[in-house]
Amino acid sequence: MSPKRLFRLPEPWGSRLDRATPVAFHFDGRPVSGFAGDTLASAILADPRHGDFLARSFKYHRPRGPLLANGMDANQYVTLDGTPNVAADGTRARDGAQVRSQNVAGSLARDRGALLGTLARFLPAGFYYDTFFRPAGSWPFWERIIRRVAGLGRLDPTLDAFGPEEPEPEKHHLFSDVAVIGAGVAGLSAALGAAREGREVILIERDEALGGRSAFARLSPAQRRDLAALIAQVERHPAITVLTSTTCAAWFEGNLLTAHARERYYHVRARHVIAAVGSVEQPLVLRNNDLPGIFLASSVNRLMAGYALCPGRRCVVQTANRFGYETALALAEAGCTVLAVLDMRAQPVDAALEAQCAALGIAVLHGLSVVEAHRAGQHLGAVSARSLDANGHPTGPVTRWRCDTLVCSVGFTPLVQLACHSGGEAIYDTALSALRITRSPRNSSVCGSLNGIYDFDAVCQDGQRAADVACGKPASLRPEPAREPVNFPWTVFPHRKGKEFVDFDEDQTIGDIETAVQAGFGHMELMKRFTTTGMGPSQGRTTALNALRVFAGASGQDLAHLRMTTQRPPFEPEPFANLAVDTSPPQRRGALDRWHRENGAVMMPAGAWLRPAHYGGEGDEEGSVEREVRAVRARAGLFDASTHGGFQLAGRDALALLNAAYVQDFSDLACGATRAGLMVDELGAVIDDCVACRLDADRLYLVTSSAAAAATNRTLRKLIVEHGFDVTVCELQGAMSVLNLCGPQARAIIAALWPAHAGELDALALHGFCQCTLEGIPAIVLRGDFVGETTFEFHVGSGFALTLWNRLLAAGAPFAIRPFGVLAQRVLRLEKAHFIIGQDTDHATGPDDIGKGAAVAMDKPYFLGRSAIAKLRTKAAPAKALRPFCLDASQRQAPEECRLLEGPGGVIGRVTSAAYSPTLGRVVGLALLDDPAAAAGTVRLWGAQAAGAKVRFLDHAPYDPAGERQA
Amino acid sequence: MLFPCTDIGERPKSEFRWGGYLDDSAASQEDAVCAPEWRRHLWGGKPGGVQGEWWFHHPSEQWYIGFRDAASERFVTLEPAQACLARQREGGTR
Repeated sequence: MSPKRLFRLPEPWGSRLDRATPVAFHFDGRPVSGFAGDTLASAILADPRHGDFLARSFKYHRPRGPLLANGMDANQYVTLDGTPNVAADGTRARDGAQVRSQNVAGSLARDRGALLGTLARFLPAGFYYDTFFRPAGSWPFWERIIRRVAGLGRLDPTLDAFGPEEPEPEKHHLFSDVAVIGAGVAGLSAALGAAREGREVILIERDEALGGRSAFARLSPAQRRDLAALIAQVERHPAITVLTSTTCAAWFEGNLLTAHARERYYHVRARHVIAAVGSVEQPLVLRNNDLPGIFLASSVNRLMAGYALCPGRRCVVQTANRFGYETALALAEAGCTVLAVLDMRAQPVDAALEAQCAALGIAVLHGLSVVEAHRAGQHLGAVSARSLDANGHPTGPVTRWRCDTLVCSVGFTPLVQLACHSGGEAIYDTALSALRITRSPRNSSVCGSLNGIYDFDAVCQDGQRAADVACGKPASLRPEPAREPVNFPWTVFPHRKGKEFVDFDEDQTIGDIETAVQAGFGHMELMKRFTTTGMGPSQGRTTALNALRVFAGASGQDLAHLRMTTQRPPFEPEPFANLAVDTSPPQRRGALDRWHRENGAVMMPAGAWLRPAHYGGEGDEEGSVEREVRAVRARAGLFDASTHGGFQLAGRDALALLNAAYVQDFSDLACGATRAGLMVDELGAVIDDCVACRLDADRLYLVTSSAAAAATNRTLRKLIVEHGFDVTVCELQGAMSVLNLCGPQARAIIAALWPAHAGELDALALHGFCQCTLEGIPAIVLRGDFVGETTFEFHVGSGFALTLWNRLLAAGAPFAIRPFGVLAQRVLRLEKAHFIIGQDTDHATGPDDIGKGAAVAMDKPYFLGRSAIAKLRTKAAPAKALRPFCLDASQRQAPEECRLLEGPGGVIGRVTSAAYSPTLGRVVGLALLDDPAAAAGTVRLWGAQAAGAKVRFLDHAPYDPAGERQA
Repeated sequence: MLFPCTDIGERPKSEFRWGGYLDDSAASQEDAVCAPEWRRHLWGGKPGGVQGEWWFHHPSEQWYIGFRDAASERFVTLEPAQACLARQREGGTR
């Protein structure tokens, strides 16, 4: 193993570290000691017991040191306590953690996979598209092998990513006047500016602390004071909500931002969004540009100032802007030997910085660029540089420096991704040699390096300009700061032996992009997909600029006309656990919910509601249902039907509304009478049914099915608007509760409970109703045919539900009354062949198919679905039929829904509902028959062998066909 | 996406439910019960550009009528259906 290059600097370097608190964990099984505040990466890299890199590259398994050092690139991914692909440079070190390197065959230092690098010549971009398909059929064999070596990290399906003690992620909805993305100097200034104008501001920062790149940069004492003051003011301002360690992942239309922290998933809705996301430095593209020991200047600043981590001892700095000089000065101050600052620009630009370098004995050479890096072991050992001509081509003799560190600062790419998500456009600005946002989304502004502005004071000013725009002030109040050219136009130096990496995530080189162009992929989007350039976890952040330049050169296209590939969310990989946060709508519970649960009810979801399935507790569902069914048939039962849809219709046109909504004619519905209704949709399919009670001249009470209540509400309201009816609708689902008392003893219970009303209630005919006040409880009482026994439905305000329920149970106790649940109700109703719309009908089932054709009042001029029914009736196709059936008594197992029925000539229909009837001692059910005539022949359950599978169709309800029990 | 309504201000799309095209009276949809006509109803004859639509707003339980540019996804207008239809009827009689 080569000697350790990275080392820890003394204080005051390391602003993020708390050196009094040590942190110890394990990397690849060996101990690491660092300080509180360290990232996993900084602790490992600083520990002399470990090497100078902690990951291998994706394709060629090349050792890779820190590139951006801020958690944004794939070459720092590790597995942390079993969770793969954790950014080691973006995750705090914690005691006792088990960290493992990824993408390594063998050990990190000696990786067998690195052999692939020597075969690179045979593995060009897209090699697997045209290599492994011959001979035909061989792909599955190769696929297994490729799958094993491809992919990043290994997922442990048994792992609970959030651990037993950590909370599951939650979703938060936040709203603000202004959302600022990025808390660098631009974002801080913008947030403060907007807050001072009285706006509510949310400031979202990816990093754990505020300040952005300036927190690690070489600032003047005045700028340092300004920055500290800015941070303090933002943190103190009551109108600014600061979210740190939170990544904004996407920016959708209407200024909807999604952001994720470890345990939170945010939806942020803002009137105005200010993107102050900053930029990332771009690598040089030259042979071996990925060797450990080659750094970006901004990463070096971050590692030194933040984590007291010095990259090496003998450094060469390659630059084309002031940041290279500033980093060289920092390195010299830290005690490194800076052999030379190579400035690509032919002429000196900043005399003051050059003088400072000269004072420290640092040689500054102009018009020169490193064109190749040389390896010593697994590290950088030397660099070769040549002069550049006016077009950026290397010329003249080669100068070579032996060094262990190369620091590059030759250009930046603003993080245009988020702005592009929401309709912004990024172009290549030839004057700046950089990508720039030209068109920002509506109600948004961009500032700082997105505008090409890098100078501290200018960035402050630009942030305030953005705040002005957000607050509706004209932007012209403040002068537009000057753009600073920080990018050098020529950063690509091809080498005949290759290995000039353009994409560090995917190991794509100049040669790979050229291969793609030669293969005919002459568009950036096609090249991206063929080579996978920009498709790795860093999503082109460190790739797009150089890829554009290489592609322009290879395809002979003009850079000014090329566009960056389409940017799509998320900005960086998001944990699936965050996306899977529970977003299901809240479950509705009726007024009696608590009573049910305290009395042994097993609850089941029914649409939006939770309803009692049965009252037998867990375990004996079949027995409980049977006991409940028998109680209703023999004595009395009480059922909570509160989820029924209820509506009050009031107004002159209430009956006209019913006539428009339902197929029946309601014109002659008398006061005090009820009538059943059937609703069909525009295609003539049955969608809902109802019972309408005419309370008085202008008021109706409408009871509809539970599931369709919301849709019926919409339909009624739309009809009112369309036809201009004079009627108001009040939706009462949940506000009213419905208690059904049924069974042969129902009348006796009522007589015992309310002697004063017994006569009135007793006199109700089937389907009649009355309004009365039962011992202080105002109720509408309906005589329904619910389960085929004498039934009284009590419709009361939900506040009365529990009182009434308890009174009915108490009065029923001498008759051994039982509450019964949804399952018993289904059996009881099937015994009476009552169908459920949506269960026993589908979207192609009309009134004629369920035997309700006679109810359709075609003489009405209009009702919803009228012309569809008229049209369907002109067709020759015979109607279907919904028919009750029963199975042989030997057959106790009910067939499942949708079981096909087999007639003499093939399939004749299907089972829509079936259940074992304890009353009749056999399975009963409903079947929808495509061919009703075939029911006369022998019909069997499809695929059944047993003799008992013969289906017997009935012309009447299986139980009490004549309806004598409801008299 | 935010729906800009003249009556209730800007509300998120999730509060609304689409309720059909404005120019499709229920009758013209019912005419489309045969397969080819239904297909045309679904896929044909709706070029990009401004189209009138019904939208139901759940929290206020009201129907609204919006004119929306299908190409840019922007509403030209969004207002209570009652007011919109009343104006159309007035316009029709003039």
